[in-house]
Amino acid sequence: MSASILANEPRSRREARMRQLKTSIWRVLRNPSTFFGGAIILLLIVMAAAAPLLATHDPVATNLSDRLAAPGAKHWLGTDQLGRDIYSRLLYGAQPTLAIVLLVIGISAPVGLAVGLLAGYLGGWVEALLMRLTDIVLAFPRLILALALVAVLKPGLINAVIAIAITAWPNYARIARAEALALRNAEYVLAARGLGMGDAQIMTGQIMPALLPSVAVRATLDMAGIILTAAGLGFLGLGAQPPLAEWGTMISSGRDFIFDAWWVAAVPGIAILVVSLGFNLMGDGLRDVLDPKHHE
Amino acid sequence: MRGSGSVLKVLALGVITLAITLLGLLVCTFVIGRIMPIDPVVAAVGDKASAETYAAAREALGLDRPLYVQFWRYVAGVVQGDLGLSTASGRSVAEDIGRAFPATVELATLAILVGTMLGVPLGVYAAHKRNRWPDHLIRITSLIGYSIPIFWLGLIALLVFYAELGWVSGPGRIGTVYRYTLQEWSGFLLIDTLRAGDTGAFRSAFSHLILPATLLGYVSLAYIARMTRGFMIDELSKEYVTTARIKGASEARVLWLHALPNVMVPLVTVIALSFGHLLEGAVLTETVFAWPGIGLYITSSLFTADMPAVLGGTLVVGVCFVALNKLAELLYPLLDPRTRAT
Amino acid sequence: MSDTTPHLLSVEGLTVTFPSPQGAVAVVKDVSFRMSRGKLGIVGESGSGKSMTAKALMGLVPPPGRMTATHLRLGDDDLAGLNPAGWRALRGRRIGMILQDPKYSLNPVQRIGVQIEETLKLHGAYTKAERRAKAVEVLATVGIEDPERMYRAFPHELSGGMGQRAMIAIMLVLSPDLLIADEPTSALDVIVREQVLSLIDRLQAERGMGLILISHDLPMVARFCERILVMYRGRIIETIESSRLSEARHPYTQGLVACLPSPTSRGSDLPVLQRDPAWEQAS
Repeated sequence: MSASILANEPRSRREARMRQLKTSIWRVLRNPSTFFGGAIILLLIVMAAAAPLLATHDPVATNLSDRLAAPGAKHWLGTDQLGRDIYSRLLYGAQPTLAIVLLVIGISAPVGLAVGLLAGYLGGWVEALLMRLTDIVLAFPRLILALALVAVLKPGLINAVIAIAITAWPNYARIARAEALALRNAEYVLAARGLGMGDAQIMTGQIMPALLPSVAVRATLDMAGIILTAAGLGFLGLGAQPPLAEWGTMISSGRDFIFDAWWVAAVPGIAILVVSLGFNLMGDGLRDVLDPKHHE
Repeated sequence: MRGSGSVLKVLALGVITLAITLLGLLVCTFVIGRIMPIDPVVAAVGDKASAETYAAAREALGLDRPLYVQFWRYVAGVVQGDLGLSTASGRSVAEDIGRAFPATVELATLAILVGTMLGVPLGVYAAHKRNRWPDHLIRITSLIGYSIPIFWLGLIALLVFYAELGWVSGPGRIGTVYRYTLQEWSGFLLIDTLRAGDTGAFRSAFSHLILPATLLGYVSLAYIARMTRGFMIDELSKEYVTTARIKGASEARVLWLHALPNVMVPLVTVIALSFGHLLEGAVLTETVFAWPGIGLYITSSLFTADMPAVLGGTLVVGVCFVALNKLAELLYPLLDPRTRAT
Repeated sequence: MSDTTPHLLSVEGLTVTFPSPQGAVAVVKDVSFRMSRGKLGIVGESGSGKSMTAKALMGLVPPPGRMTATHLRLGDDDLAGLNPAGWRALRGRRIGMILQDPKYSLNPVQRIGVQIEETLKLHGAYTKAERRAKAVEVLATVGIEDPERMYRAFPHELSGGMGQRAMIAIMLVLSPDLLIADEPTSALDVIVREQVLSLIDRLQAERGMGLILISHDLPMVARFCERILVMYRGRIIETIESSRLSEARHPYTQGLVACLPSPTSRGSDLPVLQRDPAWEQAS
């Protein structure tokens, strides 16, 4: 029996984990979906963070003598109907976009995860109640429910975030519940119970970590949808209010001039498309990387 | 087959969950309506009304009763088809929606037909040619389809196909010339114009419909193709596919007669879900194309702060969504014999 | 085996390779054997390449795998140069294969009768009535008591044994020359196993088919087949007659035989197989 076969085994748990991490990162980089998706997301973050440095003009400064200027040397992407530089507004527009995505996920994913975990693990009337609630919220198409909520809460960035978050959590709840249900009777859970672990401990320590990958993948895939919903709200004038630069709102203001100054509406839309594409690519790639079945 | 007693049981359970979901919808819209910052009494009588008028109006609207009574009256009203009065138009919300709804249905139906008839075959083909260039092309097209903001696509499409190329008509449902001679019967203009034998009107209706329907069709195709591809890839790795090949079946036969029938159940769910997405997409598309459907109704009611209209519209869309999903569920036993037993 | 009698199946130099980052990996290495219309067993552990050999014999090596052979003949037909259409004409009509678990190997949404009739549809011009008659007839042949009922049944309504009989019916309806059975009883209960095996035995004798039985279960294969091919890591390391199993020459085969519990070794520890990397090289 040659010893060479044994040489590759890690010497400690920590080393095994480091190896796993390294393989995962390597796989993420090699997968074209995650690579390009990640690159786009990185670009978004850079745009948002470095907007003050990269912008050529003040995004809210109006200059009526220069209104509806075509893209050129002075205004790289032209100006809108109030003479504001579109390139700078595009850069600054990355900020509310990123903020909305992070805030919505930050609220809806943990809430959904908690709801699903409780429902799946505890079962009984808790599950019935929570799942009914989930179904009811899911019964409304997302944008329409968000519309109704924003109508009540008054248009604005924060209210848009709240409205979208309320429509978003049920998806995570569904996934979390399905997996918690399956894991409830997994052997390692039964073993933990046999050791005397309480429900709360089992839920947080044993089951929740197993749910995190699918919830993470779902969250990434959801981000694109959140961007589109937020842009839709912005387009309808229900999101970030002017003069704040938000891509959806920018398209809306460009709408009246679409036939003459098409760049006002076209440019922010391309940004939305690219960013949404990036998140979808990332989500697809992550799912491929994390789910061995989908390996090519 | 098991006894009919359990079939009844499943049916009863289904009806009960449906009822609870619908009740939940009503609770939602009722609650949203009650926490709105606008005083519905003021909306009805104006803010210069006297105290007596205000009190009388309040009583007439039933707002002086306890909350649960109000809810009961609300539910009773809805069940009878009364969604309240629009504060903007003064007409019955139900009536307004009744007029707007067919427009959206016409649009959505065409879109889902495009989405399904093109999306499913594309998904099957992509799974067949997995990782080769047709697959990549279909995947990228799909990816763009559900990453693209539909309202922006509408604007650009109008710019290109209407303003620049003149291939289709612009916003609206039909040319103004025909609007007043139109005899509405079903609310679906393609049918109504044909019925009246008015070919000019039909052509006008069609050329107004084709662009928004195609765009929505593209978006729904993107989602359906992607899901179909995923289901098919999973299915093609199963053993019965090998059995079919052992028998000497061609790949085409394996794809269409063996694998595809096995994904019908999840696929039907996807198509129902896609229809729901279309209703969402319709809201934005109708705004861009000035399409007088329920989407436009809800958004314009939002701007006039016409809460009964907004809530009525939301409720109707929600009920449709639920009904569609239920319908999809009812199709399962037809499609998969395994769900027929018990 | 006389070399002048025409063999049913003759295979020489059969190799199946898969591409990998480290270069092409051979899953089946240079397999050669011949058989007539008797019962041949192929025995090996998981990963020995026995299932892939079976797939190669049917031209069903999944891409990106590639099959090459110096020589591959079924009766008078040369299989090595067949194009896809040629393979499709052959499969189901002249070669059949039974898979392991009827729960998975039968199409869940098609009735059994339809699945049997498909074999007929693909290989001949039978009328609807003829197909139905043949399907019912073959179901009776495989020992189904109520063939009409089975004809209308769906796979999920069947027990393991009945499902496997249905599978056999599907493959035997056109009386192929060669039947390959890949672990046909591994998913069945012990009692049902015997029933299915004796069914296969009877049918093989009645129809004069060649039968290749693939399994990891050496005693079962030894009882059932006249000759056994032992595979290890893609190669045939021994060809032996079942009656002479105790005289096996290769250490691996000897190890397998020694591992079997028997009344004589009762009370002592079971031996454990010690693998020698040298077995992976050609003998």
